[in-house]
Amino acid sequence: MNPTRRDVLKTVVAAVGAAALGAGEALAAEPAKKKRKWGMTIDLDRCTACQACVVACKSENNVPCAGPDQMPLDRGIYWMDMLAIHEGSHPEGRSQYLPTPCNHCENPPCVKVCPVGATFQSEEGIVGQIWARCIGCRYCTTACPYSRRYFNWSDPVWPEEMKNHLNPDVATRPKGVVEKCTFCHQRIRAVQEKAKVEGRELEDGDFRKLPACAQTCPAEAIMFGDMNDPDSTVSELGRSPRAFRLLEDLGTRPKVVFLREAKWKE
Amino acid sequence: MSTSNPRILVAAGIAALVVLVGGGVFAYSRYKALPDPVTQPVLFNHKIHMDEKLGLTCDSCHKGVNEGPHATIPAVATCIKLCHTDPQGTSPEEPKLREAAAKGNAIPWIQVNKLPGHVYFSHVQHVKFAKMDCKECHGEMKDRTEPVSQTQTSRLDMDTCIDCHQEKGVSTDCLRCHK
Amino acid sequence: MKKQEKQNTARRDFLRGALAAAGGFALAGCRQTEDPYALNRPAVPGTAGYGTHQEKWFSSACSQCWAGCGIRVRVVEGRAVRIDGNVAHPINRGTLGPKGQSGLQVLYHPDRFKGPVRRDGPRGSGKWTPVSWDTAIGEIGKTLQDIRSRGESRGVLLLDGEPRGMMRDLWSRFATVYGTPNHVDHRAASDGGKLLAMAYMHGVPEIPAYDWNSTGYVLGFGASLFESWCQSIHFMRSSSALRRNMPGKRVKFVQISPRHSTTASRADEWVDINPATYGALALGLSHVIVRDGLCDQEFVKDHTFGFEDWTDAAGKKHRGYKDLLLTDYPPEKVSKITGVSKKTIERLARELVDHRPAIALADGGAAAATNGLGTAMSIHALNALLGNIERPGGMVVQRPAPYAPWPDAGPDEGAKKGLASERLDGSGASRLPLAHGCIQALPDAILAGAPYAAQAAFLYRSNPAFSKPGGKRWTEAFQKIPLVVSFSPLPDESTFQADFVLPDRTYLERWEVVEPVPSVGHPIVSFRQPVVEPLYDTRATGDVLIQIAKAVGGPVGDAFPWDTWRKAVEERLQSLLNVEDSSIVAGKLSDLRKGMEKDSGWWSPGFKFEQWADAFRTPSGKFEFYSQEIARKLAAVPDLERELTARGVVTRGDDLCLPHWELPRFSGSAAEFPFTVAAYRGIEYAEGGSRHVPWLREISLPRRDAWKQRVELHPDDAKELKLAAGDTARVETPAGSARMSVAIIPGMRRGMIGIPLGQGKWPPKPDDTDPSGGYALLANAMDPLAGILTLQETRARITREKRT
Repeated sequence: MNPTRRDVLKTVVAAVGAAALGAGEALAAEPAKKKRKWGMTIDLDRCTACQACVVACKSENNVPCAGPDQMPLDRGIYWMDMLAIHEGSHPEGRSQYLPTPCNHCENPPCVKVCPVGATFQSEEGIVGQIWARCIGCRYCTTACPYSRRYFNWSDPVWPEEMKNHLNPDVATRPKGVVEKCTFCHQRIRAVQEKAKVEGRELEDGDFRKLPACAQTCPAEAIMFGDMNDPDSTVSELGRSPRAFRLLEDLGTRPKVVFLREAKWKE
Repeated sequence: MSTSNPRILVAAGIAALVVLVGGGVFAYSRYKALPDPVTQPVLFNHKIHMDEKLGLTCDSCHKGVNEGPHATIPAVATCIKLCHTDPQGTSPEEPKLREAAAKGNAIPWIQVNKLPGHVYFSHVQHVKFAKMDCKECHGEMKDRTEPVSQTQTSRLDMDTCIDCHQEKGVSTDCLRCHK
Repeated sequence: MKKQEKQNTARRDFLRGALAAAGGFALAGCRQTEDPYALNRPAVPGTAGYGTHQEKWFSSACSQCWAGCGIRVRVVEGRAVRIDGNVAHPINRGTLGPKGQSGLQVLYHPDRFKGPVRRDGPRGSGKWTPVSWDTAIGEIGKTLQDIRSRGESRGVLLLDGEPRGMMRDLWSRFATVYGTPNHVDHRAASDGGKLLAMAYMHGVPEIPAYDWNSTGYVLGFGASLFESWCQSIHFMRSSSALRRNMPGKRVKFVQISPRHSTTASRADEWVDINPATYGALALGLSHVIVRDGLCDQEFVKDHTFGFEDWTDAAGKKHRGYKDLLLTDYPPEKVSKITGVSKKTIERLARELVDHRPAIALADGGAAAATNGLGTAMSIHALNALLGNIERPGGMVVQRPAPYAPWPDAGPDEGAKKGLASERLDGSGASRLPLAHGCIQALPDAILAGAPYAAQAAFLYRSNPAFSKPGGKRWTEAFQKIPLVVSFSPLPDESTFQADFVLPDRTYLERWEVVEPVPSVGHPIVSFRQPVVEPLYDTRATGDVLIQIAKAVGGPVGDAFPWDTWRKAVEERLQSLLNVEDSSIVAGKLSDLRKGMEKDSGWWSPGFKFEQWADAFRTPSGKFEFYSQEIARKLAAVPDLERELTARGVVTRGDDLCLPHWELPRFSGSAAEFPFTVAAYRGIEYAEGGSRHVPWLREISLPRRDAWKQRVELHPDDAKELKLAAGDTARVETPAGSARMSVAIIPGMRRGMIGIPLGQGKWPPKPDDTDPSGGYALLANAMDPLAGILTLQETRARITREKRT
């Protein structure tokens, strides 16, 4: 069997991840009061690979299930996925797990190739996708070096009863459309609007666990926030020597930062 | 130069045809876009509630316009508690209210102002913060004696939204309104 | 192109095919709606929230495992659309695991029974006709009455999947007043070893709790702490804090297991070990600690019994634990048994001592072996040697919720006779003198009709035909029972054998107070309330049981005086009023309820360590290395020597009452079956399986095999067998055979195959010949004295099957 893109990514991730240890560059600490720039940190030392984030994301974002026929074709849709990376084999073999949302690159390759402007970068740095505008050419899925975009090979389907649990805040995507993680922008919008109504300033604490994956994470490994605020949790963690980003050498400048220690130390 | 150059005539003819057919299709699609009028379960009279005697305003009942995305309709129990504990008139519609309240049910109003499923619209942003008048979209409700059976706003489409957002210098970031 | 089209429709078909229920609960196919971007349902008609855009959040408690996490459910116009953790709740503090996140698909599952049904056709046909609640309850009550008046009440089996809490108490009460000793839970096949170690060494029949947040070191013996551990979410929070919340300090977590599991890969160190040899390693570590004089002398002296050699009142000399360790388990010997190097054994023992307070713990799965009780005791004894019991950062005894029991309802003469009978599963009798229950022994006993015939069976949260070995044996056994009643909300293998199905409400539709699995030790109860109107004509089983008891009448009915289950629960909640140092100090029940409706529960957070009377309820009042209770039970067995020999038990004398190790006994010869089966429960495992929940199915790794039953192999083993990932293989064991999809896992040891439990086809079909779930492949073997089901000692062979 030929290696799939997913497999290739895994290898690269394993290699680069290891090489980037300790080399995580501190995130640019720019002056405050700028526009927000949403980012996420995922602490692999905390993560237990439980995949609560994966299910929470599916539930929050009305991501359809693929079913027994489509899953073997790698057509499952996971805005937040869990990559299993195996290195070597028993007894030396080791496995690693990597929760992978969209990296919301500051220099996103996917946006550049979209012929219809269906994907774009929002004012606050989210790489968004307008379902109704997408023509399904899949240039973006090819351009994304992280394979974080998914094509709908068929219409989303839920048994009649299960349609009851669909989140009214998120549109469902029809066949022929590419979909992806949005950093739960519906939640960001809601919390911003609510704060405006209440006449209150938003603080880091309002965002830290805002996306569904971050909120549910039992190990509190996922943190979210404003990377333009130098005092935010994500900025602080981003400056850690444990920080690294995926495939940094491609110049995509991901806004998802991973943290990992090389080894347990006394 | 002759005005009867057949090529120009043909081109003009084709152009005219395109305009006509295109316009026709466009007009037809607009015509089709208007859904059939619906029959609401209760013949609610906005005028009675909003005349000088009672003096209710839109947001007296549709409280959500100052709070969040949805305008909201008050629960039947609220109507009963505030005014309709006893019959307020002779309308045959009024008992329907108490019937619903007794069963603990809501009145199954049919929504007429519908946005596509991928659009997010927030009343509070438009009413409270942008200070738009309700009638800009919903028409003069205080004169209506019957419930709304069809959308009163001419164009619930993206052009209208974008035009206004641009005119007023409001963000046109896609994620502001798409979901 | 044609193939493409076929694939495009496949997603549609799966839900129609895979989720459409057997028995005619067909789904309407999903058509594209007018607006492709909004498959959103309208509000639930008839509810108060309809059309008002009403949005509400309800606090409740999860029930996807027994951990009892607090949840908050978002309900929009009568539809539950989101479940998140409740920040107030001490177990999960706002977080939630993947199973908890999937609850909505349980609530809105299309295959749920829509109301009570009666079997219409032969047993197992899966054909039902609706029946009214009154008729069903009336008939069941009448049958139970007849059985009791014939003096055969002992033949009624209550298979109860709920391991603790008020619902279990209600079943227990029913068993007592009705007169049957056969209230059987599932623990012999889950955390039986841990439970029995606690029962015999502490005198407390409840699994241990741990003071995770202050511990200095965690040594897991096959403990699937990040997967199916009974308090995984709580431990994940703690482990995260132990690793990263203390600047400059990181608590080490070492995982010992033969299979390189997710937990092993997330641990700081993984120690590879031969299957079913955990006990030997624990004894080897103990040897080093004792040999080097590193144990907590003061604790051992003051709070333990049986460490040194001793003489009983009759003047008989007994062997102490110390002598057993020093004589029998030197590291050289242990290294040979376990495959763990002598150097590692010495180092791990040192680390345990140096990083005190340390926690040594086993999983239900680790102690699930033919040497299970000895193994569980050996592992647990490490905590006593280190003095880490009832101390900060160590193991603690869970304090139960302080609610008073219901007024005593003693059995009448008829019931007393039934209760005095031997249990049908043999536990407690001379067949299984040390067992507290042995559900997997039931099919044989039922089929043999010995020691007596089964008259009726009630299945509450229990699907043994799927989740216990012996699959077909169970269905045959059920066919011998005149009355089978299931309370399952969904059709399953065991329910197909039922005469009546009285569908329970799902946890998002019912009112309940539950006791979570022990976590940190202090008392916690979790509170559950309906977040939506019940979808169908279902009833909470608590209510139904009360109604059945009333239908039986006489003293049985009198013992259930409540109109509703809720009243019965509230009666006991009275004792939670005015409890000082609790999360809700309320004077009135309504205030208590209001508080619980907000916080998802009630708890009494102050934990007092070193409460020895709470921790040790043994005859000696101490931690018993030498369990006097085991000694007493074995002494009661007539001709013990013959029994031991017959059952192949090698250990003799005092060692039977001490932590000890026996050779594992594998089913199947190594020549015929070259592979050892590592049966395990992944994070998506829920009792009875999670195969009907699409969200949980699709988190399986590797993703491609998500909807298949899979068998995991080392790459070299696969190469030798000419198997590639995704191939179909036949896995055969002495117990059965099944078709499985091959997954190549580089971390798997050679000669071992991994089989995740609880997977398989959905919906189950009554006539399915290919068994689901993995349990059907496991040998029905157990600890010969304690009845703990083994999950580690089955051998298998694999052959390639043609691709279909």
